Amino acid sequence: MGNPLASSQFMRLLDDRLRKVYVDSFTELPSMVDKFFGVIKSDKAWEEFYGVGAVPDIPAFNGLLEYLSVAPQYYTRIEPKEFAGGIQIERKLLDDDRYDVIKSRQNGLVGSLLRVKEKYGAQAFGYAFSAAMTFATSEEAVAICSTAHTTKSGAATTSGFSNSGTTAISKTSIGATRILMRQFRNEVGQRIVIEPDMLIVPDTLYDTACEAVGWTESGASSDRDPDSANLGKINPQYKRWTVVPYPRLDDLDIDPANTMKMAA
Amino acid sequence: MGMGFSVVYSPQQPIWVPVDGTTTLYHGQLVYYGKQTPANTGGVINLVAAAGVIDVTPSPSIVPWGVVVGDNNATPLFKALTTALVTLPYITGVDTAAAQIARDYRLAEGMYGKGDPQPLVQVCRITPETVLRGYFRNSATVGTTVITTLSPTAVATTAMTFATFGLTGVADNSTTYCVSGVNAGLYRVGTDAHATALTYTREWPYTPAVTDKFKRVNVRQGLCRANFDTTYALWIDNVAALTSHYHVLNVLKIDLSGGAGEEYCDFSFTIPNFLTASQSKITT
Repeated sequence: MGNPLASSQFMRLLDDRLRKVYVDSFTELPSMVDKFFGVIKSDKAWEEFYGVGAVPDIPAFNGLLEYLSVAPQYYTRIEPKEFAGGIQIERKLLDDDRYDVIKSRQNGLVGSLLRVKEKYGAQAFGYAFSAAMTFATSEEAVAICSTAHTTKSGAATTSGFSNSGTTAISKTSIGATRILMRQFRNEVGQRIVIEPDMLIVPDTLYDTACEAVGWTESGASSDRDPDSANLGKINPQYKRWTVVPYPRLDDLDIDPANTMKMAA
Repeated sequence: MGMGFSVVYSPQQPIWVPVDGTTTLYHGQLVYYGKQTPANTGGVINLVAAAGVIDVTPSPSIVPWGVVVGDNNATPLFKALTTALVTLPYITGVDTAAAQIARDYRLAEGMYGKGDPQPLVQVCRITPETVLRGYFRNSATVGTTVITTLSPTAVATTAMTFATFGLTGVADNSTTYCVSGVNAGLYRVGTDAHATALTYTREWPYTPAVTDKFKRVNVRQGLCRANFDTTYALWIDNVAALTSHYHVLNVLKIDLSGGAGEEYCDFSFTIPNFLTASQSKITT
């Protein structure tokens, strides 16, 4: 619709015939950002993050003290972006509005801000395979989910570093991915504790994910293997996972038929 | 699905102007106004696609004048466009005295009396400073034809091959957006003048994969060629050839991150679009 908001666009608000005027009456999607992200306050142009790695294995003493190296981790910069928007309202419309609803649209800016925040929050998952991040710059220069993660220590990254997969969601692929995640390694190639327990899925994959793990939010549950070829066997994924539907993921092109992401 | 042009920024406030003849005008339409060919004796009429470079084929050339933001129908009318799955408010002009007298109307301001029964629209004027938002469609006539999302068949950071996005690019005038993949969220200007073999001097920073997805539009940030649909003047025709017929726009922002039909760009018309003679017009 046009800008500014003008009487000619809201003709029906200019007389008293209406019984009720609904304003922004649909409920927005619930906030998910607070569930998945930590929030820090900042008044800086950018925030920088850096890490120092673990100490490698202590070798057997062979008559000479061996000095071990410690490698730095990758540098990451997060740069807040500026957002701004306004609503322009014709003076006469403010005066003539018989229901006093147009004035309330300034409150709508708050809802708009929260919605935008949620959309960008979903991008963290939806664009997790992109190396070009919306707010961050990573010295490693690969996507958050990547098969090409590297280290500064020189540790081999053949196994324990790839966190990107495109296997269709199923009991088997969830199990296999869980094993892969539990075998993640740190920057010196040492095993670390990763215990994945949550499946974050778009709405379109929610039912599939629930079937794979034998559990739904509404209380239905089954510890039986969902694969008919495995009749009588148990489903090891049963009660291992919380399945979280994330409706905004459906709006992002993440190829939901083939993409699975896991959070520990 | 976004439809119709809207004013993102303008130093001007809307004014009321008559509807030309028996034209139907929709909110969000670009209009021209004044002595012109084709004639518009009564008032504003939709601008539609440019004929010639910066619209010089009709002489004097058509000058963008405003965007319809309201009308003086007492009861708002809405119509689903015949070629677009979008319902928009509209007003239809009338010329005869009887038809004018029969109207129920409200709100006219400015030089028009409250008792003037002629069909009027409220228009945000277009000046060189006016920033407009327009949505892309892959058709000159059908507003439901959204722009295409494709995966490449051959990839490099400097070039990619696609089945056609529906448009043949003009060199340095198209923009490709990475929807998904390692470059997701990034835009690059195409240097090619091709339908399927796209090239980039400013390379994609990360090597694309054939499973990545892209969108392409026939505008770029900065001065560029563009054209509108041929019927309504309600969207940017993303498949227009832009070789002989186009406007020259100053594109400020392109956003292709939205869902199908929500892709848009913010732009202003360049000064030459406001000249009625073809002399001295830039052609990019």
